[in-house]
Amino acid sequence: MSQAGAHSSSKFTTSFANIALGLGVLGLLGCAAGFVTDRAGFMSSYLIGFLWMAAIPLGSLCWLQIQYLSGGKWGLIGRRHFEAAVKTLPIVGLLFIPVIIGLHDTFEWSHADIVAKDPILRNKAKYLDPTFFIIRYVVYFGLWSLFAFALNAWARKQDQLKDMRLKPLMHNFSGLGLMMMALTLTFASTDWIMSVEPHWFSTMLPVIFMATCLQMGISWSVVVFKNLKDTEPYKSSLKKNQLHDYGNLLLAMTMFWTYCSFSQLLITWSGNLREETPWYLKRLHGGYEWVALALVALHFFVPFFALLMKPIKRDANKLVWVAMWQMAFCWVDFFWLIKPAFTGHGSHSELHFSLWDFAAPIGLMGLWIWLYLGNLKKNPLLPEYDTYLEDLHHG
Amino acid sequence: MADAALEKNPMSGRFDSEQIPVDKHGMIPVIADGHDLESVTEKVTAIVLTEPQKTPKGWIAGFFVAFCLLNVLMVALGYLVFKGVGIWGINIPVGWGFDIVNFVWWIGIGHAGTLISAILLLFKQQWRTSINRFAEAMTLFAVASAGIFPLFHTGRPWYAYFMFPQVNSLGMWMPQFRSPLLWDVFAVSTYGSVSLIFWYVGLIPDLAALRDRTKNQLLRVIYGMLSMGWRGSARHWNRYESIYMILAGLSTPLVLSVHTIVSFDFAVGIIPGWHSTVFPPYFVAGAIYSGFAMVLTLMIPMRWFYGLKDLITMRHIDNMAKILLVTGSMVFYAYLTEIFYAWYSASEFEWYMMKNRMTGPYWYMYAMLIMCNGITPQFLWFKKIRQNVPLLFCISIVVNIGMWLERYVIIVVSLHRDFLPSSWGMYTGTIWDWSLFIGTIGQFLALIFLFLRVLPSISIAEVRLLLPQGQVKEAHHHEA
Repeated sequence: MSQAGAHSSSKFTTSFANIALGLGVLGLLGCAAGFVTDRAGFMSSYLIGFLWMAAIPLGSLCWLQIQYLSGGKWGLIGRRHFEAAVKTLPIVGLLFIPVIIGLHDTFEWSHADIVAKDPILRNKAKYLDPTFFIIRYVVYFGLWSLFAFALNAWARKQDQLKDMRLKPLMHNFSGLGLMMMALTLTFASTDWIMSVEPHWFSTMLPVIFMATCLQMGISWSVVVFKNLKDTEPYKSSLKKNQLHDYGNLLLAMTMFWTYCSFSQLLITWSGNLREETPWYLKRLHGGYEWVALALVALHFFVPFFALLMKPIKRDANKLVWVAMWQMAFCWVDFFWLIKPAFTGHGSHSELHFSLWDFAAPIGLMGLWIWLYLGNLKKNPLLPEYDTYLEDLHHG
Repeated sequence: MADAALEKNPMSGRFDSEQIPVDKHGMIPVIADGHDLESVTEKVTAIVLTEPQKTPKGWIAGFFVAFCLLNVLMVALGYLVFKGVGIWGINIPVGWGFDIVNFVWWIGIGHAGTLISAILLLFKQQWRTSINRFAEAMTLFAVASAGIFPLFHTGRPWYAYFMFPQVNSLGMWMPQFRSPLLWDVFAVSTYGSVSLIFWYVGLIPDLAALRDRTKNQLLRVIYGMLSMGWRGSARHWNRYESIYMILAGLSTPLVLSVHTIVSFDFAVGIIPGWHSTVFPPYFVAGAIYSGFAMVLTLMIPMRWFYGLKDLITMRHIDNMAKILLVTGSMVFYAYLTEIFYAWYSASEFEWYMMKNRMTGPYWYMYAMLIMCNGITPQFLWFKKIRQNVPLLFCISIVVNIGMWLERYVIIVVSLHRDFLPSSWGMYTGTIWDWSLFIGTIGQFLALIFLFLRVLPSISIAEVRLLLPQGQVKEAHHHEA
């Protein structure tokens, strides 16, 4: 492949990376200020920003493994980009440390005195325990990093070997990896989203979190394709058909998120149990009802109808707007899931924005994009050898 | 052909890539080599156009058994209408027993057909082609079996029209619209109708092929009427392909909605074990899982009996086994998270329900469920097992049993011990419950046997598109 590394000088990987780093540093400086001056107000903003940023590499790890199992041309186009995204996972893990430092300002259950007075929290204390929480965090990121690095290392090896000897190994490892993802994302979402309201539980929430991660992973792919489509090797191999596939995957994930979120609402509403409804009541009053409505209208209906249109899915310059739109609303979704737990007393909550709500996502995402682009530059954008390469150039 | 040679000793489990020809991606071809347009048509139509007196003895024997079981259904239904639902084992606290268990079981089985025919078509999966017709027929027959249970559970099936919105003198023109049981009426009937149209539209070109090939005058008239004057002109094909894609697009949300609504039947209630927000995707995964298991259960003997191994190849078998593995793992995931969240909820009722499931009087049901649905499909990680046809046949039956047990555990075991210990009770199906269930299996199998005998069980027109001779058109089609 003569195109190897040719993209490294593109505008995307140089000036865009610098802008991302600049914004990232500014945002993180803002975070530092928030952490020092207003920790109680800052922690929820940081957690929301962290989840939003981490959703891209986590979704990418799922997609990387899915494409090994499913095969096909769409996977080959995205493979190197997913690899670059998942390689950031160890550093993403380090960015979680502020949440651990601010544990008492984030999670009600970390206060022994509150737990002692609350029979429900006492029952959960074995799981919602600060030490066990930290152990789980280390296990999640350990496993994710292990799979990310193994798949990256074998991909490099395959490029050197120039044959398909490693395919069965990567195939099996990806199957195991997807099961690992299902379990770790379940417990991670329980720890990081569900337990901010420690009385509440929903078996659907982990699935909603997985849908969001997958949506973020696909959306970010579209942004990358849009920016690199005019440089080799994408210029000659990224066809409209592959873009169409990514548009369809984004549509599918948009529908899946809506399906799961709506089912959770309907079941909770029908049951009308005091264990569950307060969670929704908080999120449908005090200004949050507008956020909820915005999610319905703008995170589902608008992108849904846009993504039904073929001309949008086949044009990177148009599809990228839908992708960025969905990424923005994934943040709104995390905000709606987490923030109401922090902006009120008892069963009531008031919609309230702070400076940190903007500093944290900008800082974390800026830094992540810079890390990602650094990884992306290191390897050619297409595998050196794969049996699907030929199909890619001829179809 | 190599495939046939391999299966002479399938128990050896040796299916190396040296023996089965594979393409450059290491995949087994969808259709075995050596077929042309004529041979495919000949092979499929020959099954249908065999003279009545030359009907294979195996078919007669199979149909006889199915027909006997169908008569069990007739007796069970006749006595039920005569005596009422009191002949069943249901009572308070278990008001839903075999009837709903079997309804959900059959509806779930139906899902594979639409998944294969519609969703895999939209995903451009070529391997769907040899098995879609059969799976769609299976869907229709499964829905027909499913419908019997809620219809007769009403006690007075002749008043079933009360379930539809209607202007009547009672002033009750609309039934309780908040109840998912009502949504079921709409969802299942719409699903059944669209599946029937989809199946029939797909059949039209093949019915015309039967009309053109049969030597029997009466059959020519019948197939001629059914094929609606199909002449295979470019305009016919154009319209056929657009309606086929539209129906595929319509069926896709339908197939997902049906089992979602079935899951709502339980999840909107507040019974521990039923009220769980993850139910919709969990039920849909379970439905696809059971449907693919049933396709394998039926298709493995059929491809052996009619010698269709070069049209329904190891590629189909392997892919279906993989879908079984994926959906089986999703279902297993749901079993595991159910346990965790029952504990995490810190609700004594939720946790008691889970302990009762695992250690209560029906513990063996739950243990068998985990064995059948949790552990068994995990063996499908191994290629050797996926390609060992007799073993796969056994696994598919185990999965069918497992999915029945799943519904039994969810429905009966959740109901039999409710919030009030004084109202606890036990449930067992009576002989009439069992005979109705076995009877619907008879009906299902009898319909399958009739279908195999009178209609082309593999889509001739679509298989021909996969042949080298059909590729030119296909490539041209994609460019456009």
